[in-house]
Amino acid sequence: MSKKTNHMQRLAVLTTLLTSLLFGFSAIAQEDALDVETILDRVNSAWQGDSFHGIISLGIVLGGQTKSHKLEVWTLGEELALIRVLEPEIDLNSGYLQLSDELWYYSPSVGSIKLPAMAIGDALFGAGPSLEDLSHGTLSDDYDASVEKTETGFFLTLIPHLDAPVVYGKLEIWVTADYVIERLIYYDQRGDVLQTAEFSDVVEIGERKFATTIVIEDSFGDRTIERIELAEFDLELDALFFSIETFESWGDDG
Amino acid sequence: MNFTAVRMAWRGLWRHAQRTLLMIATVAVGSLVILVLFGLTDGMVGSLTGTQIDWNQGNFQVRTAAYADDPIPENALSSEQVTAATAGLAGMRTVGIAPRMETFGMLRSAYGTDGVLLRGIDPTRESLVTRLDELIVEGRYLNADGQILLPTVLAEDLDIRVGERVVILAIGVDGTDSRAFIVSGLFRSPSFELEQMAMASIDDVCSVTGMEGATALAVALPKGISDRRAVEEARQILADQPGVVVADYFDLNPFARFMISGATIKMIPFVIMISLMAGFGVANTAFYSVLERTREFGVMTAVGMGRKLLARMVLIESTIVAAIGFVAGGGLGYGLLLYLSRNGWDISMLTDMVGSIGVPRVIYASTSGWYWVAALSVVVFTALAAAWYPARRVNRLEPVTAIREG
Repeated sequence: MSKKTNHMQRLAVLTTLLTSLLFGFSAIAQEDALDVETILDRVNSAWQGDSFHGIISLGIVLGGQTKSHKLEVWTLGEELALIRVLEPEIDLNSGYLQLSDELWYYSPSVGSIKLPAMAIGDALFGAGPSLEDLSHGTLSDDYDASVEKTETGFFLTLIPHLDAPVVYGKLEIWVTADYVIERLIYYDQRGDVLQTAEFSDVVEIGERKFATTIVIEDSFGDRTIERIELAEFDLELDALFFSIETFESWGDDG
Repeated sequence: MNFTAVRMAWRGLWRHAQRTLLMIATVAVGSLVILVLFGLTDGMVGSLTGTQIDWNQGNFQVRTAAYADDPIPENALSSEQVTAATAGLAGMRTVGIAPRMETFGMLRSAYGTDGVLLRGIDPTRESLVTRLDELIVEGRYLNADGQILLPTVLAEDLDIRVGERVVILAIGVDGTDSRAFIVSGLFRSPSFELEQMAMASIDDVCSVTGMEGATALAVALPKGISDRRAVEEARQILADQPGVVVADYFDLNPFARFMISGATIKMIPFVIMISLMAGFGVANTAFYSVLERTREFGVMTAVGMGRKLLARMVLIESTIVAAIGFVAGGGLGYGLLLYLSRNGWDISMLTDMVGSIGVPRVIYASTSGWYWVAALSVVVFTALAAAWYPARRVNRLEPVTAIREG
C-alpha cells in the first residue's frame, strides 16, 4: 500500500482540498442539459476565473487515528493558490503555495521548499480526474460517458478508455438538477468500490450553490471529512499576495 | 621409504583418541571457516558483478559525459549519436547493443503511488543484453507499445495485476506528463536496484520524456572476452565522437570498486587470526602430547631408536592430524559452498544496508578450486610450523634425563 508518511498526509490534505475546490462548487443554472460535458462544465463553471477565500476544516481518519486540520485558502484564477495551516498548532502558518506549475511548501521553522512539479499532478491525480480536464475536451478522449436523468437530477457514468491516463475502472457521479454534485464513486479496474465522496449541507451564497460538507471514504475505511466554514467569492486579491513573503509575514507575527 | 615412523605415529595418535580428535577438529574448523569465508566473499563480489552485468547494465555502456554527471533525459545521446555509436561498435565482437531511455517518475495504481525509474527498452535488442525475458514470472514480455513490465515487489506493494492499467507520471523536457500503460508482465527482480524499475518500450518512454535518442547504449560481450580490453577498444572507436563516453563496470557502479578492494583486504586479518588459532591449537596439543611421552621417548632412544626418527614421528603425527582435519573441514566447507553456489544465500534481511548499492538479493558462493589451496596452505602450514617446536624438543632429547625427569 502507499506509504502514509507525514508528507503524504500533507499531500492528502492538499488533494482533498483540491477535490472540493474542483467538485464542490456550483453555479445555479436554470436550463436543462443532458450532455455529460455540459453538466460537468456547469458544475465547474462557478469556480473558474474567480477569486476565493475560505476556511476549511478537515478531519482525517487514517488507520483508526484521527487528525484534524484547519486551513485557510485563497485562490485567484486557476494559476494561483495559497493554503495556510491554522490547526494543528504545531503546523501553524505553514502551508502550500501554487504559482502555476510550481508548488512550494513553507514551514516557519524550515523555510520554503520547492516540491517537484509532479506533486501538483499527483495531488490532482489523487483526487481523480479534475472536472477542469473533463470539461475541456479531454472527456471524450479519455472516457465513454453516459448520462441518465433521475428524479433529483442526473446520474453520470464515466468509463475510462483503455489508453486513458486514469487508474480507475469507472466513475459514477450523481448531480442535482441545479448542478451540485451529491455523490461520486470511484471504482477500481476489478469493479470494486475504491472511494466514495458524499457532498451534503448545500448552502446558497449569492448566485452560487455548494456543498459545505464532503465526506471521502476509501475501501480501507480511511475517511476525510471536510467542512467549509467560511466561503467568500470575488474578492479583490492582489497577485503579489501569493508569495513566500506572505507566509514569512505570518511567521513573524506568530 | 621407511614406514616405521608413520606406523608409530598412527598408533601414537590413537592411544589418545580424544586428544587427536580435538586436534583434527581444530584444523577442520579452521579450514572450513577459511574456505567458506573465501567462497562467500568471492561469491558476493562475483554475484554483485554478475547480477549487474547480466541483468541490469551489460558489460559496458555508451552515454554522454553530461549524462554521467547529471542523469536526466535532456543529457541523452541524440538519435544521430546513437546511430553513429552503434555503427562504430558494430565492428567489435558483441552479443548485443541495446539502447535505453531512462527517467524518474511516479507509478500510480488505483491503490497507491510509488517512485520508479522508468526504463525504455527495445524489447528484441534488450533481451540479447540482459535476458530480462527470462525473469518474467507472470504474464509475458513486452510485445507492443503501451505495455509495461513491473517487478513483482512493486506490483505487490501497489496491488497491481497483469492486464491492469497503470499510469506513469514522468518529468520530460516539456514538464510533467502522464501516460497509461497496460501491465503485460511481472518480473522477478534479481537485485534491489531493479525492484523500483518499470520497463516499457523505448518509443513510449521517448514520447513521455519528449526526447529522442537514448540515455545509454548497453553493450553485452561474449563469454571469455576481457571487459577491460573491450572497453579500451570501444573508447578508441568512439574517440572521434565528442561528448560520447564509454562507462565501464566501475564507472557505472562507483561503490563496487570500494567493495571489491575492501573485500580482499578485509580477508587478510581474518585468515591470519584463524590460522593462528588453528596453529596454536595443534601446537599446544602436540606439545603436551610430547611432554607426556618424555619418559617413553627416553626409553625408546635408550634402546637404540634414533632421535631423528622420533622427531619425524612427531611431525608425521601433526601431518596426519592436519591432513585428516583438512580433508574433513575442507570437504564439509566445500560441500557447503557447493550448496550455496547452487541455491544461493538470501541476504534480504540486510536490505537496509545494501539496498542502495545494487547488491543482489541472493548471494551465490564461488567454488573455485583456489580456495582449497588457500585453506591448505594457511591452515596446514601453520599447523606444521607449530609442530616444529615439539619435534625439535624430541630431537634434542637426552635419554637419561628424559627417563629421570619424565
